[in-house]
Amino acid sequence: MWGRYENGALREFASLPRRIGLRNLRAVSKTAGVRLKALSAGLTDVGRKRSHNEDSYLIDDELQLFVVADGMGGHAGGGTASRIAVETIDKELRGVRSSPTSPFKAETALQDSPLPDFLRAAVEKACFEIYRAAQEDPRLAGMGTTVISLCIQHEHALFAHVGDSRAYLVRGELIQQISEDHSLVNEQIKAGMITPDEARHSRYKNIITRSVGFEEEVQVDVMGIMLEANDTFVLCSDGLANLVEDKEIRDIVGSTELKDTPKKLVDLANERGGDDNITVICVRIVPA
Amino acid sequence: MANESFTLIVVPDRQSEVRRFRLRRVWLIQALVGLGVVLLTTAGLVVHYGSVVSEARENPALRDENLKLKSEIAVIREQLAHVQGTLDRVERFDQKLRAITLLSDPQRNLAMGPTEAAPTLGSSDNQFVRSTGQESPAALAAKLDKLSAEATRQEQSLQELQAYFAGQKSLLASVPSVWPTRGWVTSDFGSRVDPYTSERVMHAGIDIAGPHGKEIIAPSDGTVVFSGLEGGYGNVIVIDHGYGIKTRYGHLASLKVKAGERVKRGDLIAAMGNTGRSTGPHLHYEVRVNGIAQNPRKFILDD
Repeated sequence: MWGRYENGALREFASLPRRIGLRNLRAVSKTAGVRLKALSAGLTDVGRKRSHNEDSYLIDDELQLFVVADGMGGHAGGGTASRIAVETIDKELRGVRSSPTSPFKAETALQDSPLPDFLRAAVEKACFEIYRAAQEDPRLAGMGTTVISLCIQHEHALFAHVGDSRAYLVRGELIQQISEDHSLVNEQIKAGMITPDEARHSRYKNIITRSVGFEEEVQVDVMGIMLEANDTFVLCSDGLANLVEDKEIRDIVGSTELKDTPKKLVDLANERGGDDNITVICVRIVPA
Repeated sequence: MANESFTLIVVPDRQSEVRRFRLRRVWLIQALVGLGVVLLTTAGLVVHYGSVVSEARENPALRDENLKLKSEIAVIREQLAHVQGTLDRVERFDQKLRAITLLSDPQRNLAMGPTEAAPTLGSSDNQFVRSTGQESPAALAAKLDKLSAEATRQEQSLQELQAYFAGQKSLLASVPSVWPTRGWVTSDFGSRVDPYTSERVMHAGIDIAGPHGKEIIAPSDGTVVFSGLEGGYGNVIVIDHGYGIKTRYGHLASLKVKAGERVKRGDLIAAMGNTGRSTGPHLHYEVRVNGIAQNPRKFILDD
């Protein structure tokens, strides 16, 4: 079923199905009785050094689902893996929402929310689909992708995460990376082998320790936080995170209109070399 | 001449016959010499006895004094042991304070040794060893010298630290130097058997068990950077204290602070719970310095 993508020009992916691709501004009012809504803007760019864009991203305003996937492996595999990932996650969660016992309707405390398990299951399903596609087509063998996904539900922001794409929370003066990188250098930092400063220049910084679809199963991290008005979430691939400091992201988010923020961040990364594909989604929570 | 002799005649009053003893001169001399020797020996013994008697009269006084001195030495020995103990504690405290000052230097921090008291060899059966009873006053004096030298060294060290901390108020406020909650430490930092898989794994924090809902406070000033759900941690709060120090609190029942909030030492931040990968209500408490998990006990001064 994914075969139709395998020879496709991956850069055109942004213009593929309706709900996947570049959207500049979306206002979504949430279900009645909830006083917050999410606005979003996203952009992907091939960068300055690569010939293909292997990143994919998804903005699904109905689900309030946002995903960035950074594919890798082979000539065509990376783009295919990331595309399968965002499509599968979206399809799975749409299926979950239309089921009679939709977890999207349940209003629970954060810790009792059933949604994280469904987010996790969706990423696991994506993993299985990518793995199966790679088994069926030898040209795609060994492909995999990172996934950072954000789902806004009522007053909760829920994340599922694999790899080194990142989710940041910008709240006032605070910028905090919500996801923990599944990367070799992060493991080295935690073991005390290198300092964060050395990590930035490590030649191993592109090696990730988990990826979706490289093996049949993957361990998915899930996180969740309570929303506040004016929170901004930034989802991005390592093409941005490697070249732009956290504080710079915070300053740009704080000083730029939401619809222009992804462009400004991508431009900054490109100015500094743009040595990888760059994908950014910004999601702002505003009073409804 | 040698054969000269005397005759001793004993004449009774009445009809008994007269008795006559013939004594040789040599016998007489021998008897006289013998008598002299006996007299001299007796005199010597009498004099010696006199002196012994007078000494014996002093003995009870000496015994009393001896006892008194012995008890005094025992007291001094006890005091010495006490001073030694105090100095050891000061030394450990000093090491902890030094650990804090090294926070900003990850290289030295990594090389730092344990700050717990090193177990003294065979200390457990001290009560069966009479070593203390046989110590001579000279050894005691030597020990005293050693102690006073050590005390001087400690004083210098603490003065250095005081000078250092005088300019580091904010660092002191940032170091997680108190317990975030009180309870039973059910699992310490380091390698342990995982309660779920029974495999030996690194435990990056300490588990403090207590009643569900028990208050958890911020052990030092900082900014809350995460307050929410995170996989196996369940409800978790992460506080960034600056200087590369972050603390994490896992398995919380409820979160009383939000990301972005400033907290002070002692502020209520959460309630103890059993969320995430947990087998009972407890707090999983982690301290990370520059991303590296450290033993939280290393920073706690109020034990």
